Amino acid sequence: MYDIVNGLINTTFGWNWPGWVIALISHLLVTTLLFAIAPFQMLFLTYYERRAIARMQDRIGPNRVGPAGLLQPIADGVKMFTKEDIVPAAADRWVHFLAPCVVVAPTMLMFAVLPWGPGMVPVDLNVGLLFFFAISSISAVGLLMAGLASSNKFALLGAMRAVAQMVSYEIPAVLSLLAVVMLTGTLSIVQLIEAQAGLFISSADVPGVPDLGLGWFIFTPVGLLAFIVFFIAALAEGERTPFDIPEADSEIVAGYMTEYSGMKFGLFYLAQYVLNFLLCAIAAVIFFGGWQGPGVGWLYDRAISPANPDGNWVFNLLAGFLGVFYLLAKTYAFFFVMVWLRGAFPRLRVDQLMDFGWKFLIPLTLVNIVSAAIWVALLRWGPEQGITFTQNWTPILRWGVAFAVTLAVNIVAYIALARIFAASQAEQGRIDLDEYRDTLTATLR
Amino acid sequence: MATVIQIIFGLIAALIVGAAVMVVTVRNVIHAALWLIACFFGVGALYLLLEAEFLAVVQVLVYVGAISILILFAIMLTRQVTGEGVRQLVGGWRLWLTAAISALLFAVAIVPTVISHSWNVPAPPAPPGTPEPLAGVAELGRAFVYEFLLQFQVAGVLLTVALIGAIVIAFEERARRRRVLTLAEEHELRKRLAHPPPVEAPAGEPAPAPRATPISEGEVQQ
Amino acid sequence: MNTGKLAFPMPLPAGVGTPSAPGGLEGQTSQEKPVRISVRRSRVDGCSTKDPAMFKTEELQINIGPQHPSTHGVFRMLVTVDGETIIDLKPVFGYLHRNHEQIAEQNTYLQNMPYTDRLDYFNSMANNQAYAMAVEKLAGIEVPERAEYIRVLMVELTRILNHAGALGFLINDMGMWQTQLAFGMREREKILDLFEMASGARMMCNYFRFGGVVRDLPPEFMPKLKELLVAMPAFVDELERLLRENEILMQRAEGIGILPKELALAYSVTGPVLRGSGVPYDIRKAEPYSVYDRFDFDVPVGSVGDVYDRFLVRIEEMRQSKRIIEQIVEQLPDARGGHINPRARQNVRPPVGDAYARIESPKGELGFYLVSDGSPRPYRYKVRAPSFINLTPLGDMCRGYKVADVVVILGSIDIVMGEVDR
Repeated sequence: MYDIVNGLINTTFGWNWPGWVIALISHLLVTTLLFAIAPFQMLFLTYYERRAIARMQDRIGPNRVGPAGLLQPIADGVKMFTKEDIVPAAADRWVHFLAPCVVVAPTMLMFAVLPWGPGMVPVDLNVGLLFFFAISSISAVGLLMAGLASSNKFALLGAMRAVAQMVSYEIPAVLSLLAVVMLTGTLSIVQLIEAQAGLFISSADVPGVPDLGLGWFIFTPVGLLAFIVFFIAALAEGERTPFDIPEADSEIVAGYMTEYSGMKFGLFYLAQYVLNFLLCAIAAVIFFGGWQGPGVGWLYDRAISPANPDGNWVFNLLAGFLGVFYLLAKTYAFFFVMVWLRGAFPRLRVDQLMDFGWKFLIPLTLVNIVSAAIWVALLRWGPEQGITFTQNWTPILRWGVAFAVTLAVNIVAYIALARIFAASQAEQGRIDLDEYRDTLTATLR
Repeated sequence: MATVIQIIFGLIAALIVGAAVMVVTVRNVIHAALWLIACFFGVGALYLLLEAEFLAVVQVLVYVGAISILILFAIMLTRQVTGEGVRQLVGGWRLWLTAAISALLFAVAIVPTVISHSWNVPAPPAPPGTPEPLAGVAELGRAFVYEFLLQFQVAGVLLTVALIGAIVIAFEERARRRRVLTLAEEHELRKRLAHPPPVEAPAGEPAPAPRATPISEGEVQQ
Repeated sequence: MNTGKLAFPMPLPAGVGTPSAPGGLEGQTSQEKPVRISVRRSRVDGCSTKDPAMFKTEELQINIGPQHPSTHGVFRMLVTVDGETIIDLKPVFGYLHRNHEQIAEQNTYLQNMPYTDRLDYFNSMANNQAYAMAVEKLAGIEVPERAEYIRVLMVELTRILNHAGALGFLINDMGMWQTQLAFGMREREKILDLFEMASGARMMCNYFRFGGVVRDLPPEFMPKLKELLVAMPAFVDELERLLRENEILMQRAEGIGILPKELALAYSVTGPVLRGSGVPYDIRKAEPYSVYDRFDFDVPVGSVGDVYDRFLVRIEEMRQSKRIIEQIVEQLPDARGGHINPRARQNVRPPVGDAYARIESPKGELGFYLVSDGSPRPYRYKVRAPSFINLTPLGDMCRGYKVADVVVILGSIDIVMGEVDR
């Protein structure tokens, strides 16, 4: 954004304003844009989800307000605003009030590092990926606050479930991303995307691959496994079916949101959908190249950028539009999968959820990290690191060997872990009544 | 620019100190924990001000995202949350004694650093060969596996031992810990108590349950 | 283990109420493992019986209901939990009590017919039949053959719609939103259309009369019914495939809420819950009423008695109901006697005496006990409501499972509060 504003004001108009004014203008613009985009994404996502799930359930869905029901979310928003704000008499007033804010603020902050298109990132932090997950973990505090302050047992149970789930599933999510970080050696989201240029083979791995913006990590065995684990963990983080246990309406009413009404409830709702959007977007960014796609790189080479200050701003616009289109298309595809799962699966139970996360996903990600290390060692390392046998291999041979080895490791690990997990599940809960007869007899009523 | 930085620093420092004071003065334990989170957050902001982005993010991830959650979780599982009627170290000589001891301990840790550090002096250009300052992720990682390998490994082993210990505690006498038998288990147990299996069942194989009595006509008809 | 879980006993000999013990279920279960004991371990409670001071946890009391999304009406469960594990559950009902039996004693026999619709408002036809049978027994009214066929047809349709709805609600309680429910409701709508055609009402049909039904089937009824019969197997197969293949659903249902066979008998539960526990007891076979002895159908039973077995039993019952309806479609044109006994008066004044009539309603044994003092009003009117009796083991069945299992177990019992509270 800085480049565009700089190019517009100083180059095109020739006004020669100082750098900090341009930085201020561009940051304000970006922030305003993001704060406008986030709620609109949420509004559209609710509509999208309701229509999609209605199709799966042999119904039509919202279709009365506006053309094809498109204005339904706005009507819902108006309803939220005009509802009475009820605070339970026994509630901890301030904590109850602050909880929705603490939940919404981090989701908004997460937008700060999300790249929308080439050169279209609000802040290019060198630890952007870590920032994303660090910030997202804050909202767990908000959930706990909501549960504790409501003085409602359903809210308390919901908050306990929510936090236990978020804390446990953050680990596989971050570990699966760690494998990808190892592949590229960077935590910057922008560099992660730039590493995914190429055509099925990342041009960072094999030089000279034609750049069609399709060198996504999903095409590597490490990235594929990491994506599967990450998406499952994202479902749990975003409290989507089959992991919508914290707000299981058929069990604990609405979980931590039970005692919220009006716009405070609306804020929780907003935060949840924005978080879902962001998780889908980050999955698209990390594993599916984000804005990478055929044509974006070519356009961006001709646009104004730090590397090419003499470009034409029309190409900025074109590359931006195409990049945003690719990103949103991928994001909505993932969100559709979330909706699909919601229409097709019941929810797990708390203990099943925990077992699955700790006993299956985390070991799987650990194995995946080992395969990522193998990948890096075969592809990048040379005699300096003590790997000599790959010295005379061509890059494409190195890539092929790395692909085969990591694929084998991952498949074997997956099958073995699935067997072990199934065995442990079958074993679980068996109790030898004869062995513990005396102890158990005391418990009979 | 320096003034702006100083003003921001002052604000953050005030937030940290104020939050820290609130942590030890409020009676409600939940509020104390929430103020503690604010305090952690301020420290993260300070790191950011020092351009240690990685440390700032890790501060948020570990302290706000994990440790404070654990604290809140522990509070949630205790009964007296509001703190009314709980005897606290407020007022009297106990308070002052505690304050003095903690201040002394803190001073022991911080005073030598304050005295020996040369303040407001631009750092001299490092002679070639000295390691780079620890700022980025890569440098930090390199330092962990080259310079501080022993400490890193010891910490890792310590954490692993703690994890195993936690698992051992959790799994101790796992079958005896269960109090609630389901209906089917209870029924089976009662059946076995009424008709003990004639032979000692082989290990691992549950004893054959006595065959259910056939349903008599009278039972069905009623 | 999934295949062959449903054991089909030999069809019971007509007129004899004894389940055939040697060839039936008893033989089946003794070969396999008797009961899968202890499927779920509670790991939340960290309470050591050895040292109670260590990890002492506090119990939490939760009121699930009376306003709760998945209590199927105004029903309250007073749940004591330790963490997420249930250590006690007390069902509390009576929120929908509306003095049904007292009101019925102030009405004439015929006036009560629409009241019975409101008992189990999902299955108004079955309620009608049980009540009509009780009054006919009391007053000694003969029912023509054709009317009996129409009655059985209606009750079997009711069974299909009840099970389609009940499974949909159950899966909805498991958190699958209303996907299955929507498809179940789609099938239910088709049946309700048939009901509307025959009786003029969709839910509160009030279709039966003493000595027959209120009017004959309209001519367009049979073609519609045949269409339905053609379309239905696809729906049932789809539902069964969902249940047998959906990993999460099976994890949620298998081994949950086990009701052992002996206890099921002791609790005197009936219907799919009892059959799910492995007791081949079905009044249509045990004491054939109406024209059930002319039809060829099987009684599905489960082997474990968990939620999953109740699922499967209901699905299989839908298939068996379809079989019965197909036989009715064949035999109905030959049946004689019109839709109502011409000698049956609209309002009856039965002689002094009492009568108990029971049918296999979709939820279990539905019985009406009537005492007549010779007046046009029943002296005593008592409903043996299957929902109510099946609810009694709920508290014990839930013990030791998780909070999330409560709604599933409750859903698998399949209650309607209108019948529980009366």
